[in-house]
Amino acid sequence: MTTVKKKELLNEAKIKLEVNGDLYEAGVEATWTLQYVLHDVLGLTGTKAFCDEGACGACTVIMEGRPVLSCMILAIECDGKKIETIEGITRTKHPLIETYVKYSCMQCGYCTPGFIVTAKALLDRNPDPTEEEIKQALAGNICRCGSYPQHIKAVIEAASLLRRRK
Amino acid sequence: MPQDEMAKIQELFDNTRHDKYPLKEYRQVGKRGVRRIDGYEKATGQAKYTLDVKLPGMLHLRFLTSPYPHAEIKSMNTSKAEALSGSQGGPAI
Repeated sequence: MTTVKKKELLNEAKIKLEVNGDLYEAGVEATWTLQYVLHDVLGLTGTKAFCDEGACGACTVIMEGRPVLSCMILAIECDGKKIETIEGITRTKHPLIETYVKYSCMQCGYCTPGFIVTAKALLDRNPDPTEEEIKQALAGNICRCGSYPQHIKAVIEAASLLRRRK
Repeated sequence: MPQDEMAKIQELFDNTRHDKYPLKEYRQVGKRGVRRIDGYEKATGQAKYTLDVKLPGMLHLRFLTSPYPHAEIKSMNTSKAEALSGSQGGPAI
């Protein structure tokens, strides 16, 4: 168990999080979002902050099997929750990473971790998604470099790689 | 105007006309199978952007903008901001 200490908190509350299988205990203030705790307190910088108002999907994490926007969730509400971030998906060597590099689904790359987390949540509940289902699942993620056509190809190939692995 | 000439002109304005006659091998622009050097870093979230950088002794800055357009600042009470823990340097206009 890793304990994160931060000095001089006003209204501190202790929460326990299970991030990528590791247990964390952190003191948080009531106004801190889950994105802030993951990115700045725990140092998992793959969870990006961009719009900070729930519009772009760059901060998506998987909480209890569902993709959620971590900038729209207060950390204090997440006590005892299981969270999976892009670092955990990388650690399990998910085929999505490989296909995303293969099809160059990024230009600046800032939105890419959010896309991969959303796509992983889709593949978890639907191992063989159609093109329409992928478009619908990734609709909440915004990419201003315009990499949208590539994501569909990458997710379809990752799904076939996953099915072959099983 | 003859029919085939009209078709040629129409094709000139078709933005996807290059996809109809792909070359087998491009040398630079449009070459297939090229991978990004930083693709793996960006896909795994390890790439460092400005927001991800943490330096020792780094200061944070906040802008407080005027709620009134074209207003003139006559005086400013900054004592509360300076009293915050870890505050360094007073507010500047």
